[in-house]
Amino acid sequence: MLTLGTPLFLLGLLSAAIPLLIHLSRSRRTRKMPFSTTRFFTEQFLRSYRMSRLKELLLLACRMALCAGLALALAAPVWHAHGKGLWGEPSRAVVLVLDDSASMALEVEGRTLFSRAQQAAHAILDSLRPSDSAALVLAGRRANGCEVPFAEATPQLADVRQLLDGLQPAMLSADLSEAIARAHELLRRHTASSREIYVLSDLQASGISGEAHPPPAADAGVPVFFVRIRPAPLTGLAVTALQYGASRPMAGVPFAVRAHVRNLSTASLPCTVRLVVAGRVVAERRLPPIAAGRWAVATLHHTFTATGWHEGYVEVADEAFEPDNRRWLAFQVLDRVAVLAVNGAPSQVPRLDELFFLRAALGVAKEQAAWPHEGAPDRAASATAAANGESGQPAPSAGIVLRTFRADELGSAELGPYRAVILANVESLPEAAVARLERFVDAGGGLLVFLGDAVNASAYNQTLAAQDRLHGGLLPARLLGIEGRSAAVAAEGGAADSQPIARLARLDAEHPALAGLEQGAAGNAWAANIRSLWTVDPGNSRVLMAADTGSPLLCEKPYGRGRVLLCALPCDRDWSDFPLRPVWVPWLYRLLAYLAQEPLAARGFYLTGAQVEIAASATASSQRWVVRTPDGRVRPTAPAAEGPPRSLFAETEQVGVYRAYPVGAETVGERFAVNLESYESDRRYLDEELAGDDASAASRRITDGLARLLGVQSEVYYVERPEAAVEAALAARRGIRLWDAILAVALLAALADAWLANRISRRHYAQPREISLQPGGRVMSPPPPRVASEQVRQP
Amino acid sequence: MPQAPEYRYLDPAALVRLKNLSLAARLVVEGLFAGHHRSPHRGFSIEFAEHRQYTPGIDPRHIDWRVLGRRDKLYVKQYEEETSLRCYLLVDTSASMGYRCSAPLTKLEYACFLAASLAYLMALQHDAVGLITYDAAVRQRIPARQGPDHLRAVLRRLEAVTPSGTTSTSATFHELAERLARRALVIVLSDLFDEPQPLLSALKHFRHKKHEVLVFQTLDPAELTFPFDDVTRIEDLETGREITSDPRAFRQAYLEALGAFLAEVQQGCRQAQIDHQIVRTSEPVGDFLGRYLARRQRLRV
Repeated sequence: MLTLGTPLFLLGLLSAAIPLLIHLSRSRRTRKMPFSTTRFFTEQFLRSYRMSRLKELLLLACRMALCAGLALALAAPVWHAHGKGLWGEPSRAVVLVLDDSASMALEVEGRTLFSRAQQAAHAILDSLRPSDSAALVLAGRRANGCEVPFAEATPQLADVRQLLDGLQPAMLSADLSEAIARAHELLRRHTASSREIYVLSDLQASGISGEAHPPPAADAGVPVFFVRIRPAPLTGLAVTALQYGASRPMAGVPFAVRAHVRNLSTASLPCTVRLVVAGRVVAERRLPPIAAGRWAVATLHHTFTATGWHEGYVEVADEAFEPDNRRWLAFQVLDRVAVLAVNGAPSQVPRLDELFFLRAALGVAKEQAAWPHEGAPDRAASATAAANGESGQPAPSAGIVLRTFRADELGSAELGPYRAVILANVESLPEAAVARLERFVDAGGGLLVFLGDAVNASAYNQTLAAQDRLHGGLLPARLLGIEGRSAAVAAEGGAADSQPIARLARLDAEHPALAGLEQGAAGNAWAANIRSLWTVDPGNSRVLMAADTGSPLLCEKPYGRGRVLLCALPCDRDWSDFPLRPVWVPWLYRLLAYLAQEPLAARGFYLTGAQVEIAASATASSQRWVVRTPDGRVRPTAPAAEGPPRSLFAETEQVGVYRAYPVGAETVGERFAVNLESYESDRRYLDEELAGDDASAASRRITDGLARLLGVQSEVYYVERPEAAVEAALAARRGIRLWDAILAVALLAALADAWLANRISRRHYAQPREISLQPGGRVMSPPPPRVASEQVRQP
Repeated sequence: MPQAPEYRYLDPAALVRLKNLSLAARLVVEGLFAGHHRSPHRGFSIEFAEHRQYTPGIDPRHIDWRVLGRRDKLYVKQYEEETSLRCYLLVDTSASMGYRCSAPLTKLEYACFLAASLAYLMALQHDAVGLITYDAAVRQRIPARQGPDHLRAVLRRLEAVTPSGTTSTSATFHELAERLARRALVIVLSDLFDEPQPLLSALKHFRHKKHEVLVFQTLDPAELTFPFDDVTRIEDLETGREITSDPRAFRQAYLEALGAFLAEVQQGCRQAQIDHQIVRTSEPVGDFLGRYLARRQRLRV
């Protein structure tokens, strides 16, 4: 919109009529004039006259524009692309998007970036008038979205200031996209004539989420100011990731932890990595100097001597940025895992027994508790374990202990000692067995179901996948039929030479039980030939593996506090050569380890701001869970509104180990580690990446790029220094001063007027002069033709 | 001698300036009366011209006895005969001659003043003067005669002319050139707004008939400068043609066209040994005529 500094000067626009009036008066003052002869007025002259009339009109327009332009420039017009009144100072509504992510805790010259952002925010608030309003949005990535302390922009600026003073950076990552979208929502219905959003952030590249949060089209007029709060170039090391050598640590078995350490400085740095468990350094490794910008992996080993929950962290000695020096971990160390297997097709011939390959795999697993590619534990770890009085070798009793039952025995079996149950090609289960299994899994046990040629699909669907049963039935999917060969042929067996009908095509590498298997380090899972399989309908269950035909091969279903895995293949080689592949051993071992652990232990770790789901048993649904945070406070959980019964905990803004337990039973609880998003240590910044190498149009590229990346449809301003935030705000309120441009136009009009008038005068109007006569009255030669004279004038 | 104040076109101030001047023809003209102008007919008069051998039939009174005594041969004396000037004033009375802008007189009035002054001067010199007014054709014709009565008749006729009609100068001049049987001084008083080539052809026709021709092209100063600024509907006095225009847009082209026209007329007159003068109506008649006659007298000396 347009504002005028001195509107009275608009009256000067009337001066534009002066040239018009003069023109009209001249045009109407036509008088009749007798003249001696018109023989010298030829048609050529008349054409020239008409052309001169056109040019005169152009000249008139120039003069009117000149008068109007001068009057308009004196009125001091200012263009505001966002809402402003024409005659007065607009009311303002400002939303301050404050980046309270961990990277803002970086301390430079004795002050954190966050305090600089607070100072800039205060300056912006100080520029508001009492009638203006303001709001805050905290851009940390939280489970429930960015924090919005005020439901709408409030005129109580003192409250905003007070809240601002009390804020501290959280150990969260940033989500600028969502924060800006929330800011737009706050301003959408606000009636202020000027609505502005200020983003106070270090503009880390990780601050942009993959999802776009485009503001509604109606908010296109809200300008967004990106105020860069930039640290000086940093030095330091950061632990950016942890990997575990096995899906679960076993008592007495060396457990490998691989720490990814990154050098963020511009010079190579030496690095010492420590593993701290229960407040004691249990492993330490000194790495050769890490080159600038590169990363290294330090493998640390520790042997847990006691079962139960253990917590600790991996840290590097670095003073640059404390939050990224440490990554927390929490393990549930198991001793012997007892697994019950129900053999649906036993055989006297060992190799034809349904459990032959399963037994073989678990036997191998006993001897290779660690990852096959990890190699032997290092000497330091062994020495540390010896110093702790622990054995560096696997305990003979460690690993999985398998006990085999028949199907008819399952109904009367006591499942309490077992952590997981395997159904291997079981035709069907009696009702009692199904009920017992349901209670077992609901209480936290694991169930792994291998299908096969003996399976009775209708019985499975009626007893294990019936919707009227607890949690909608145990099975993650309903059985549809056998694909590739008939059941009769399958019963005969011996068709191993038939052509494969499918191969493994998809594997969920995000799942903690399958992470890393897709890389082939533990054997190539993709080479398995599948000659037959059960087609199933997974419904809403999670599909962990699938064939290239689209048929699910492995599905998972949470069931109370436990989980159920359904494999569409048998665990022998009748339908596929998967059990013959090297990947079979780690695959089976990881599945059983995954099923055997507590639900939270099975999950690796959480990021700050994430929502933690605590599984609840259907039989104990009234049990209320609480969480003790790393700072010792006990916080309640919230029951999930829909889906299977579970408790939700979203207050994960601290890094460290949290303890979740039923009220009054802290000793039986679970633990989970929450770590900072590793991207917070990333020193890539949006503005630097968008600016490119050419500094000439860097600002323009940055604003365009920010608008594009963040889905901002309105004006975008980039403020390079936080000290200039107020100035930018003032400039935005002032808008674009138009009078400079108008004066330039008026000057151009004046120049054009002079040039045009001169041209018309020279081409069409001659000054009154007498024809030159020589002495004695003789006539001089007429002047040269006009064209010739113009040619002479041209350079 | 006529009394000047009686006549409208006799400016006493102009006459005072012309009193001691005489109009001298550059070429010898034939006159009926002995006067200040030499006659091509050599005879017996006052001023000795040459000797010629005596032949029978010549009056013996003209034998030069001194030559006979010295050389014993008969020669007779011959004398140059002075004759009076026959002059015709051709006054253009077309409508264009009625134009006047800022000058005190219209072109026709100015031409009449000029003609009257010249007629008076002729009368002083005992020359015969005649008057012819014309536009598209000859309107009035007074034969060339001497005497005060004749001068009065000329002046009365000049007072009676009014501008009207179109111009056809060339046709009229051709007609007059054929009618003027005896050699005379022809003085043209006109703006000459006609096609230049036929006009020059007509003037040359006079020269062909052995007349001496003086052309006083009478123009208003506004015609020479075109000083108009306002948008104007210009009306042609002769044809009635109207052009609505901004004169400033015409000025350059008009002046160029007029200059070319005047240059062509002047060059043609020079080639035909016709004395061509542009006369501005803003200049007093006496000033112009005095300056002009003085220059002619210098040429004669």
